[in-house]
This record gives sequence, structure tokens and C-alpha cells, in this order.
Amino acid sequence: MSVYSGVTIKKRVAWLFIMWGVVSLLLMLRLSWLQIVQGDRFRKLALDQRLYPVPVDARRGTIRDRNGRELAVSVSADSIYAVPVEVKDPAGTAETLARILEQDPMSIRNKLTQKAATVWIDRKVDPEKAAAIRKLNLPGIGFTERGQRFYPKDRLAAHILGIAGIDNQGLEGIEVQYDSYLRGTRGQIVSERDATGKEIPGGVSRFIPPIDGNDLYLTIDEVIQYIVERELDRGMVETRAKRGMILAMDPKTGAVLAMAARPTYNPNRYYEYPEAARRNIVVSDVYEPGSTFKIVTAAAALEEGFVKPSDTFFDPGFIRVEDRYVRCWLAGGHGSQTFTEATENSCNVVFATLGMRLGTERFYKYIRAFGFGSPLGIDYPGEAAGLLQPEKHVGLVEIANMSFGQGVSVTPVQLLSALNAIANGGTLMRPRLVSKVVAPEGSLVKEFGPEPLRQVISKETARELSLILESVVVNGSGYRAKVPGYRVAGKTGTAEKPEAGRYGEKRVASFLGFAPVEDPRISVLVVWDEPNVGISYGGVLAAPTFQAIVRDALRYMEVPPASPIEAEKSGEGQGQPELVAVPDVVGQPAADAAKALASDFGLQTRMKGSGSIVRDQTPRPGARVPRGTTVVLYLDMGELYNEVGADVTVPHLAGKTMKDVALLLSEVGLRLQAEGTGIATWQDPKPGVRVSRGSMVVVRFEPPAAESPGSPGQP
Amino acid sequence: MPVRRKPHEKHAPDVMVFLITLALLSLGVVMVFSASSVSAYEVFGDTYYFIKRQLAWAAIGLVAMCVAMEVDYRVWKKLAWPALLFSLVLLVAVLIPGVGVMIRGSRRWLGVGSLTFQPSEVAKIVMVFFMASFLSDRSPKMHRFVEGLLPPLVVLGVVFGLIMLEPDFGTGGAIVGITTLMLFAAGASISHLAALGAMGIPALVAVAMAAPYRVRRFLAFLHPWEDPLGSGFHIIQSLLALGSGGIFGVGLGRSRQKFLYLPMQHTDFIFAIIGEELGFVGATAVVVLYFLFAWRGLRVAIGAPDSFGSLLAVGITTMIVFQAAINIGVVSGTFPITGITLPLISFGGSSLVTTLAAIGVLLNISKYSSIR
Repeated sequence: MSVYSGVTIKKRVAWLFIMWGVVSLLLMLRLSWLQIVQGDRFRKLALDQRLYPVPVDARRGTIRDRNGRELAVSVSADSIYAVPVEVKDPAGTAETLARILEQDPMSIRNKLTQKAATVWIDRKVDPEKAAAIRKLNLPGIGFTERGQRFYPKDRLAAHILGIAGIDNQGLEGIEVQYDSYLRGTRGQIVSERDATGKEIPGGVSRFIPPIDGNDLYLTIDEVIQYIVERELDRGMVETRAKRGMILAMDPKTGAVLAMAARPTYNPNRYYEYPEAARRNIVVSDVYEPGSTFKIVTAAAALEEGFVKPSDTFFDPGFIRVEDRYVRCWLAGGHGSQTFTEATENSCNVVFATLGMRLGTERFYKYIRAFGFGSPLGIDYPGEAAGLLQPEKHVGLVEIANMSFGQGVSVTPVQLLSALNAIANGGTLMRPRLVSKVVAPEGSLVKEFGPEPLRQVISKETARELSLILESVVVNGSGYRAKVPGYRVAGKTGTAEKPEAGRYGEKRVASFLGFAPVEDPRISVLVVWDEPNVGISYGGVLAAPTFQAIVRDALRYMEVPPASPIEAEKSGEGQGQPELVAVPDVVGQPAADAAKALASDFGLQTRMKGSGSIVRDQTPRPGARVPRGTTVVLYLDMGELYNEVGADVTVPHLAGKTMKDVALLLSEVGLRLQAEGTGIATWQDPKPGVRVSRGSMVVVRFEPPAAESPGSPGQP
Repeated sequence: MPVRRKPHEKHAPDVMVFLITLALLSLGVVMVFSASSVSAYEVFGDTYYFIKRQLAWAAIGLVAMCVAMEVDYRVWKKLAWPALLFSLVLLVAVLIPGVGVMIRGSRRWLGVGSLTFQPSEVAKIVMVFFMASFLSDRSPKMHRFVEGLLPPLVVLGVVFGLIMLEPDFGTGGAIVGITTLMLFAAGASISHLAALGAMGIPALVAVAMAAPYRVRRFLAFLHPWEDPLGSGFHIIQSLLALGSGGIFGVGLGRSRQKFLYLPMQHTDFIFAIIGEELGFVGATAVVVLYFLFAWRGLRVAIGAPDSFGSLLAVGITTMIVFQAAINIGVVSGTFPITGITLPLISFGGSSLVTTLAAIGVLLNISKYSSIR
């Protein structure tokens, strides 16, 4: 056996050794590239994947009225989220959460098993429920505080404010219009987490604080808004109207003082209401204004010199326009009358004559100048433009109709803005709802002042027309709008509603006006859509509402009366009457309140409504009024304020079609059992009876005996 | 010039091999603890779950090493054929459904309950011993093809084929690599080996055509950011760990990537944690330790008294260094993912015991070395 030499093997092994040297060198080069050259890049990428940002909501700004009273506030509420990979026992956890949150266990379980870093289990949870879950210390379940929108006055100014969604985003109304100011900027908590989402002990953690949203000051005055809503509720009951709208503005600045519509809703529970109830019809719906539109015809005719207040007209009851007759609402006509008297009478024949004298081109110039046919630019989403017939298709018949408000569609905001231009000396002001934006710490971010759009008519014309409109209230169809002690100007309107191209039985009763005439502080438009109490004259249904609002509002605004009011007359002595602050008697027994007001403050009282407890009062507590002033005490208002009460009042159904009956009953929450077809003639229970919600109402329908002939245009 | 001794004279084993082994083993124990603590707590609720086991296996392995060191290595030559046959039986058995345990589409495991092992791992160590014996017998003829190279290639083909049926590309590939290096050391013609390599290319293309998705996964290491949450995920997390370490590392025990971002932190990807916690300095030190091991192991091969001893020393050294190089290549995104662990450092009981026992054999060969 030869001694092993293995020269080949040894040579080859030496090569292997060199090979391993080269491999080691290459590996070290690669490591130096990764760890030294690329190190910073990889370190940053690694950190990025470990840092989980958890959003921290900014507090949404508060919406206040012009005096700083809160209308919409944000309160914080807990939201619950899950980190699915961290949840130990999805079935058990889902079961527990579902029990506390009163939700479906399966849907929670689906969320817990989702392939996502985090999922929301429930947002804005009741504090007690959140506390109960927090106590359980469930793995993978976390909490963040989020802002919940709360409207402390419930329905008050609901349409103005609109609503904000669950993610702190404005959805409707001012909430969406000014969302960029209210929303603020989200913050973050950034922390270092492992791949399953758990925080790494001793890891990096960083807090970027949110920037809270700004507060909004509206032009709205909460007290005037309150007065308007109260009168709107009362009017809805008294007129049985399908819809109602009231708009109150400052004629000189275009600032909206109050805006309300019915049906309405509670923004705290907006999801319980139909979409129609959330619509702000004051801004986004159009209607045919009828005789209230005569202010535009009158302004144009006066400005162009086609008429003077003292010019005499003769109304035979109709006027021939081409091959048709335009009839006055008063059969037989108004006979001989001055222009002022024709306005007091709301004489269609005279206004048709003026419209035709003006001619299409000139009339349209004024209609457009007053802001009709295009949005005025109110700071509110979804403003309607209104509808004007195309100028080239307009003949004499159309002009004649438009001169008393038929064949033209306007928004309440447009119509009242036009009146404001007449009241303030001829300037059309941009209507606006927000006066300023204020940062959380109190500094002014932005201010919105009065914004004149254009001079529409001369100061003199405006003055002249104001006096004519005052005469309407003093001597004419608007006498129910008189406010003792103040000079009031206004115009009534009773419009026929066009249906399927024809004017039918349905009416829109309205009134608009302003006060005091010599120095206007407030203008108000009241619209009742389809009142259902037999009569439908604006002078009867809308003027009293106007009167109540303007009376209370002027007193609240402490506008000095032009002439002494009755209450003052009974007060003794001359010179400055002694002023007293009205005490708060809301909630007290009516008798006690009256006694206290009389003996301690020298104030008189008048009760309204039935009941024994004071629900509301005018003037409001704190207002300074002369001794001897009458304080109106509103007692129990029944269904006026009883929004979710169990009992409802059976409405008056006779004379209605089956469709209308069904709609009306469903609106108040009653069920219909119909007998026969045609028009309602008999019902059980009788109108006015209080029954529990959901009750059955039996209604007998009979075919109408004969069609009654339609009446022509009315004031 | 090394001092020449008389052949066959027995003396003390190579202390350097022993010390390098101990250094790698200790580093492994520390790093397994650091890398596994988070996942151990996450999965088993016990931070020490893996380290306790690793320590136990290390102790068993050291005992095995000491025993092997005392057994004359020439004994293994006689066991070469029986061991190969036994290994082949295991490789066939594991393929039988019901006998072999299927995990994630591969039938790789044999055993009952928690006591399982991979026949391909057994084949790996057996092939080193078998090839050392087989090649030493035909060493003078190795430069010829039919008498020299072909017979060991046939054996390799059978073993590799059986492993591919499981399939286990990582271990199969490692066996081919280690065997090829042993063939080279035994004196196989370089042109033969090159020609065989060239013949392998069409075979690889055929595989690529048959299962393109496998190729995409295989080559994902070249462009991991194209699929960061899929095939590129492991590589990206590994690179982020290495890069985060920088030059000096984030400090022992302070890895962030071990917070469940990096998969297999304490096994296949433990080198990434070493790079993150100990930095370029620590990672390079590990590379250097393996290189030193290669140096001392190959030195034993050169000094061995016979061709079996030489080739066995080459095989054992190559087995350890080859796997280390591949593993570090994978972790640094230089080589496709193979599933090969880092010898002496990665967590894994049977592999640790086998490796330490093999080093015991290497130490025994060193006792007969002619160079000192």
C-alpha cells in the first residue's frame, strides 16, 4: 500500500479555498452596499411600515346666531374600532360587542374577520356603552374620540343649519356651505406598531394635534327665528296648509333674520324624516307669487314715469287683451280708482294695463334687475334661479298675466329681496346668512358685510312705492298686517297654483311687507301653500301671521314706535315712560305669572291658548319695555309643539280627493279605510277629535255632483 | 512552511476548528433568543420557548461532537453503502401517502406526532460520507468520464430525483452543490463538469416553461418591489432589517423587524436580525467566521492521511460553508429563496446535532493531519 500523496486533491482543495475567499468577499461587498450605502433608505422604509397613524378628529366649529347663541355644537363621543389581526376570539368578541351595542353579532363578526388594518365597529357610541366595553379590555378593540354634532335647539332653524355627517362633513345647509371653515384639520397620533398592529413597547410615538374648526356667526337672530317658527307652527294649524314658509330679513343689509319652512325636521334625528321635510323650500323652491309680484310692476311703471300714484283708472271688471279677456278678481270691477287705490284693491285690470304699457323689453329689464330669473347668490347650497318665460315668446297676454304675478316663478328669497330694494331706497342687496367667521381662540377670520348688487330704482320711486304699500296696509287688502304704533307697508297675494298647465282650485296665500316705513328694520314674507280652510286670501291668512311676527320682532329689537301704542296711552305722565325688564315666567302657572307681572312690574297680561302653564311669552325675558306694556302669555299649545306625542288630531277631510286624504292622514300618522270613490263626504272620527297615532279613520267618498266653474285671478 | 509530520501519527485535534464552531454556536444561541422572543411570546405565550429548546439541542450536539471526535473516521467508510441504502429507503418511504407527512404541498416529513425529521436532511449528510468513500476509491480515475465521473453522478441523480419528487428544491439543490464541489476536489475533469453544467441549462428552461409561476417566485429576489406584499415580501423585510442595522446595528435585542414583520426570524432569516442588531460589523464578522472555518476545514483536508479523510473533510467543510453562503446570499437578496438555514446559528434541533456531530468527525480527521 503506497503512501497517500493526493496531489490532485490538494491542488483542488486549494482552489476551493480561493473560491470561498472570493465568495466571502462578494458577500461582504453586498452587505456593505445594503447596510452602509442603502442603510438610511431602508431604515426609513422600515420605520414607515411600523408607524400607524390614527386620525384624531378636529372639533367642528360652533354655529351661533348673530348674538353668539349656540345653534349647532360638537360634543365628543367615543367611536369603537377593531384591529382584526389582534382580536383573539372573533366569535366571542362579536357576541359581547353585539350585546352591549345592540347590534347584529354576525355583522360585527364579519368586521372582526376582515383583512384590514383597522375597521370601525360603531361610531359615536353612547358614553355608558363605551364605558362598558372599555371595562372589558377586549384584545384588538380600541377607542377614539370623535365629534358628534348636536343641535341644542332641535327643530329651531333646522333648514338653515342643515346637517353634518358622521365623518364631521357638512351634508346640507350652512353646514355644507361653510364646511371648509367649520371642519378644521384632522390631527394624528402616530405610534410604532408590530405587523399585527400592536404597539411596540418603547417605540416611537408622536401626536399631531388637530386644528379645530372655526365658529360661524349667522345673521339669524335666535329670538326672531323663534318668533317666526312659533307663528309658522300656529299658522300651519290655522290654515291647514300643505306647506308654509316664512322669511324675515333686514331690508337695508340683506341679512336674513329668520328663515323657516314646514314641513320641517329635527336635525338631531334627521334620518327619521323624509327627504322632503329636509328641503329648504325658502331657497330652493319656486312658486308663482301672484299679486305680491305687483310690487315689481308698480316699481317699473313708476320709475319709467308711466304712472303716478294719483293717476285715475277705470276698472270695468275685465280688459280685452288680443282675443282674450283678463278678468279682475272682483266681479263687476273696481270702477274708478287712483293707482294707489288700485294697489290697495290689488286690481288685476289696472296692473295688466300697466304691464302692457311697459312692454316686454322694459318690463323684463326690471324683472331681471330686481333679481328674478337668476340666483341672487345667497350663501346657501341649491339656490333656485326661478323661471321666466323666454322673452321672445312673450306676447301681450303673457305680459298682462305676469304683471299680476302669473306665469312667472320666483323663490321666496328673490321676492323678499325685491321688496327690500323698495324698502331701502332702491338698492338690491345680496341676501346672506352668515355675518362672520371666528377662530376658536376668538380672532376674526372673515367678515361678511352688506353687499349691494345694484341700484334698481331711484330713491324717489322707492319712497313713492313704499307709501303706496303703506296705504295697502292702512286702507287696503293688507289691513290685518297693521302693527299698533308702527308704520307698516305690505302687499297681499292670493295666487292660483298651476297644475298640469292649467290653473285649478289650489291656492298660495301670501303676504310680504316691511316696517317701520320711515326707517325699515325688518321685512317679512309669509307663504301658505295650499291652505285648506275654505278661504285662501293672503290678506286673511298671511297678513295676521306677518303682523304677529313684526309686532314681536320690533318690540324685541326695541324699535321705538312712531306713534304711542295703546298700552302706553294707559300709562300715566308724559316724557320718557319708565322701562322695566320683563321677567321670565315660562313654566309658571298662568295665574301666578299674571299676578306677579302686574304687581311687581306693572305689566299687563294677555293669555293665548288653553291650559294653565305658561309655555312661552312675548316679549322675551330680559326685554326692556315701558311699564304698562301687555305681555302675551302662550299657554299649552297642544300639537303645535308636541312633535312626537302619542295623540294626534284627526284632520278635516271633507271635500278632498282620495289621494289628498291618504297623504294628509299619513302625514299625521293615521291610517285610511276608504269607502266609495270621488270626493270625501263623511268621516269617522270627526275632525278635531284626538286619537292615538296609527288609528284608523273611515272616510266615505262620493263622486262630485257637478263641476263648479273656476274663478278668475284673485288678489 | 508547515511542519511535516510523519503520516498516521495521532495528535491533538485542530483547536481552531473547535473554537470557531463554539463562537458560531454561542452567537447562534444569543441571536435565536433575541430574534424569537417576540414571536415565541406571540405564538406560545413564552418568550423563552425557542431558546430553551435551542440550548438543549446545543448540549446534545456538543456531546455528539465529542463522541464523534473520539471515533476513528475510517470506521465511516465501511458504513458508507449501508447508510446510502438506508437513506434511499427513507427517501422512498416519505413519498408514500400515509407514511410521509404532507405540509404545504410537499411530502417531506417522516415520523409520528411532534417527532418528525426530513429524510432529505439525512440524505444530505449521508451523501457527504458516501461520496467521500465512493470518490476516494476511484480518485485516480476521476478525470475519466465513464469509469470516474458517471457512477457518482448516477447515485446523485437517483437521490436528487427522489428529493425532487417530494419536492424539496432547497435541500436537493444543496446536495447537488456540495456533491459537485466534492467531485471537483476528487479530481473530476473541469471540462466534464462544465459540459454537464451546460447540459443543465436546457433542463432549467424546460422547468421554467412548465411552471412559469414557480420561476417568477424563484426570481422574485431580483425585483422584490414589484410584488411587495407577495413574492417580494420576505426579501423586502429582510433588506429593511439589514439596512436598518447600518454600520454598528441598532443594538443587541433591539431589532424592530422581529416584531412579526420579518418571517422566520429565528430560522431562515436569522442573519437579517444579526445584521439589524449588530450592523455591518456583526454581519461581516459572521462571514469572516465561516471563511475561517473554511480555511481550517480545508487545511484538515490537505493534511489528511488518506484520500477518504481528505474528501470527507472537504465534504463536511463544504456542507457547512456552502449552506452558510447560500443562506447569507438569500437574506441579502443576492440569491433566490431556497429554505436553507444558517448552519450552527439558525434554530433547528436535528440539523444542529447533525452539524456538530459532523464537525466532531472533522476534528477526528484533524488528529491525523500531517500539517500543524
